[in-house]
Amino acid sequence: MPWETTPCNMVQRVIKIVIDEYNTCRGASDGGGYQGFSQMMFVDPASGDLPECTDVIPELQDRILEAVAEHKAEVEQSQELIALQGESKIHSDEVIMTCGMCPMVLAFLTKAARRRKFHVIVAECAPKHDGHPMAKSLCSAGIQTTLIQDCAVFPMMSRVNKVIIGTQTVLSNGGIKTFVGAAPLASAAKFYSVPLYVCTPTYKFSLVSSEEVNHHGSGSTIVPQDSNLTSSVNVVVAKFDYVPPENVTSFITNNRGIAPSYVYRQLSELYHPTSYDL
Amino acid sequence: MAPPEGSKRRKPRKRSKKRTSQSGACASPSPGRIPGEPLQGGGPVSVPSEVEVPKPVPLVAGHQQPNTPEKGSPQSLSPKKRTPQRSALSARLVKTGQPQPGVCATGPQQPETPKGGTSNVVLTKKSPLNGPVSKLGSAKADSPKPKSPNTKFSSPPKLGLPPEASENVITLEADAPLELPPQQQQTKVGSSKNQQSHRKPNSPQPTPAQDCILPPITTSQLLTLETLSSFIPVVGVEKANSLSDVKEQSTSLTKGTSDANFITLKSEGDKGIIMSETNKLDNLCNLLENIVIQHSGKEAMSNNTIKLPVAQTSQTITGPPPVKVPPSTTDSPPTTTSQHKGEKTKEEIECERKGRKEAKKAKKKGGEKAKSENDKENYKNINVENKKKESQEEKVMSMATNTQQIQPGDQQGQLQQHTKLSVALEGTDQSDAAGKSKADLKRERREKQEAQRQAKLAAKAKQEAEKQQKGQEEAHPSNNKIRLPQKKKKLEGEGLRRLKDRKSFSKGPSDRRIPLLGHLTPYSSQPPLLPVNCDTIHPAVRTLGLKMKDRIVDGSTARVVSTLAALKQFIHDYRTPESCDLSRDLAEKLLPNVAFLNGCRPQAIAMDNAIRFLKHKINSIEPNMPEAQAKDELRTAIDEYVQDNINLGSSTIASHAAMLIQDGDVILTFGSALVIEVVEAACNVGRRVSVVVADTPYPPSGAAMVKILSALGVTTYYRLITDVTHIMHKVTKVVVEAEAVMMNGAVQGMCGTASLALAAVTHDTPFIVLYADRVVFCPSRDYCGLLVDWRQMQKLNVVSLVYDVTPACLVTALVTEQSVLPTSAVPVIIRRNYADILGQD
Repeated sequence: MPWETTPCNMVQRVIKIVIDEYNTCRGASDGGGYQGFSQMMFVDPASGDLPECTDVIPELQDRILEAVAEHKAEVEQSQELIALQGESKIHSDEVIMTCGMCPMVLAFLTKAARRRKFHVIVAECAPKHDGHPMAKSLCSAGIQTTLIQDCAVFPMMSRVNKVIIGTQTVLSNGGIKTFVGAAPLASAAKFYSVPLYVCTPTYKFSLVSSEEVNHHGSGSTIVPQDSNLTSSVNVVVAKFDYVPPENVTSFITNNRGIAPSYVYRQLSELYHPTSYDL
Repeated sequence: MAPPEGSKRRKPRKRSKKRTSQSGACASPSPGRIPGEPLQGGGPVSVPSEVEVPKPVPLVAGHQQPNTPEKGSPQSLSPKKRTPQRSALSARLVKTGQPQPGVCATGPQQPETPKGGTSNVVLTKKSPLNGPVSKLGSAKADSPKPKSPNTKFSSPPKLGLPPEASENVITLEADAPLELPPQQQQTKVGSSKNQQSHRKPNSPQPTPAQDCILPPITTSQLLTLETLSSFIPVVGVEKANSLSDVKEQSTSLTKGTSDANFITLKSEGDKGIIMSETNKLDNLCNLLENIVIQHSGKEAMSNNTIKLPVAQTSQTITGPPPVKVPPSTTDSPPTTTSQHKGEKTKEEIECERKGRKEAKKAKKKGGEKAKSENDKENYKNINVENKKKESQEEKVMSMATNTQQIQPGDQQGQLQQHTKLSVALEGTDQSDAAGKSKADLKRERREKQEAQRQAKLAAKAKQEAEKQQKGQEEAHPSNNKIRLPQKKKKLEGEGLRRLKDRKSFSKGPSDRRIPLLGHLTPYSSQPPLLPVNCDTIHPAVRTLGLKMKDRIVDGSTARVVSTLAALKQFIHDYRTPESCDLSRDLAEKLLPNVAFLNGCRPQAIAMDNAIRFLKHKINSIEPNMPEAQAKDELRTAIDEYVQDNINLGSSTIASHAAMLIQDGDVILTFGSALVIEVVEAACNVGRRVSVVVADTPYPPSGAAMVKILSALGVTTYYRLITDVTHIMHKVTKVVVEAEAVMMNGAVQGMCGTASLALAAVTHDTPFIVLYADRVVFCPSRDYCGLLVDWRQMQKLNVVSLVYDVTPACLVTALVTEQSVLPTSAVPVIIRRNYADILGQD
């Protein structure tokens, strides 16, 4: 599954943790606490200079394990933390549009629904029709829900106050790689100047660039059953859509809101330059 | 003893009436009489006895008093009847009965399925929709249906009947599908067509019903076994008797099926409301049938009209009895009726009647337990005899003894086999009838009442959804009516149901106004209620309106052409009244027709233009022009309009657009016939083009286009509309077809056009709109089973938009018959072409 970026993200994150722990230990012994920070700021990615980890630090292993466990807890809590922001992002009587099934968005909206009354429009997200279970679970959470077909996104967008979607990956340029149907949705939101929020935990921030988005699935899923299309017809289904950063208003992460233009900075905090080319 | 008991009982009965017999109770005062009259005059010849029977029953239902003594007596007697065995059984059953609610719920599912089945039968010929519809019905049956019984009738398990009775009910439900076929066969033999019609629906039903029922059956079988053992039946003849009885009933009840359907319908639909509205319903029914008749070409009016009243009478009749019948019988029959709406009603009715008779028998015969079957027979006899109760009772008693003895033996054997549910039903019925002590009855009543209260609350919430579902299911039958007038007889019952459903349905959407889109006209499966006056709306217009509503005629061009054709027919048949001006009177008469079309489906803009044109022509007729000449002029004007604006339009547009296409272009488009013409024209000119067809999954309108294009040798790509961004970089032109162009240059097109335009603009691709509407491949849009039960969910709405509007700023060029234009030129074109029309409204 070459399109899954999260495992790679995790590896890179752990590398970063190890290096950080090593630096702090050594820095503590050296008495200079700022080295890690300065190193992060001024490192040259091209040279990819890995600090020479020659020192033997006995407590390093424990500290690393501790930090990794902490990171794990952070990952596990991310959905909850994101959901907690629902109240502040959604105001009463707003119309929210979303698309497809995303547990993160679902948690976000359900949490917000406890204190706010709002309306959710769900696009069904055609080939997989993820929107149907999404709509069901939303309305079972007591949210007024309307399910629309994908092509009705544009006409409905004029009535929408916010678009909230989930994503598969946040790309290094601030764009997102996400479910099919998000691109038209985002461009429609852009056309109508509707803010588009992306619910994503920080572990989905990836160093992948936008050129690597396209993966195609089997087209057989979209061919109507009763139509006998000849083999000469080119039928393909995309697996993911790429939404450019200019169509994204903000990322809602477990830490805070992040603008697409700030993603690069977040990446440099999350991952060490030596692992960029992993 | 008897009087106080009777009084006590009355209260619960009344309640039960409210729900179960609501149809009957309400109907009895007004409609009951009305139907009675027609019955005398036009009642079907085959069933004279029935006609007589219904009359007394409604009376009873209405007044209750006459009945109450009868029922009271059985109740008083019933304690005597009870044997210790039964009481024990009842106790067991009670215990077992609690789980039964679920079982019962499974049973209730059936009622709707029959509808679906019927609709399917009717619909199968025409619409692909049938499949989904049936699915809906079945699917609903699984989950939502259980609600229906609870809501409408007090929950089945709680029925006043001894636990046995409840089981019986269950078994009845389960059996009903299975048993019905034999009855129907018999009925076929005895009575001919009506039953057959019902039969068809049954055949599909059994499978789902059986599935649901199977688990319950086992329990019921066990119970029946116990009861049987207690009874120690001697003879095996019973079945034959029961069958023969059934046959008799079927023959006598040929109408009964329809009646039963009707009853169930009422009970299902709007309980309280329907009652009051029965009169209205009658009127509506007549109207509907008239309409149908017109369409069909005048089938036997007399039959239809006659039958409708009959059905009502029967309803009233059937409705009230359950109320008066001892609680057990009352509860069980309604549940069964609700479940089996269509065909099973006969059985249900029989059961009810059996219950009555049983009670009577019980009074007379203290010790006999197994008289239920006898009751059935008696009941049949009663029907035949016009309910001479005493004599019947006696007969019944004798019959019952015989039959009872016979049945148990048969039942045991069958039970052992486990194969035949019908046996279980019979056994259960018998057991039910046998013993109810007063205490049991009281307790049962209490349970009922509580259940009813709860059920009411639940019912309110659920009714809406159910109604809507019904509405969907029934929408198709309406189509069928138009198309298949021959089946009117079958549909008599359905017609009534349909009317009710329509009302309920009309309520439904209003209740569930979609929050953000309340201003849009929702697709309604029912025709508009406007056409109350049959005179004002021309048959051709009416037919067209219904066709447009069901999207048999779809696409703005087709709609314009057919509208003009219908109006031409209207003008042809028009006769000017002597005192009036042709131009004025015709314009006036035209209005309701146009309003009807608009009510069936909101007018396409092109239609609006055409009608304006026609009005303009009518108004410009000289007052002193002879009628024949004026009509000739109008007709030629219509022909010219079609020829100039529509026939010539598409070819010129195709040639215009082909000029815009260059060699090697990749064209992105939506499914549209006009675009195919354009591509063809471009190929003829020698351009090599490839085409990307963006499609929506529902409906897949682009697939047909892809086929045609690939057959032409054009390189074709098939994509979902959501995938368009991935291929957009290859596309050099986007060509779509417009449904209409607004004054400000905005383009109304099939839903999805706007997102194509947006994608085109973001990729700097020209977006070309062809403005001459043609028929679009567009089957009726329904969410085919993807989210089957969405109507069940209170807060969930499913919207399927048909059109969207593309802002003018996204449109690069507009290709019209005249030329290729920017959108800013639209007002000019409109002014030039429609100057004469625009002035008037």
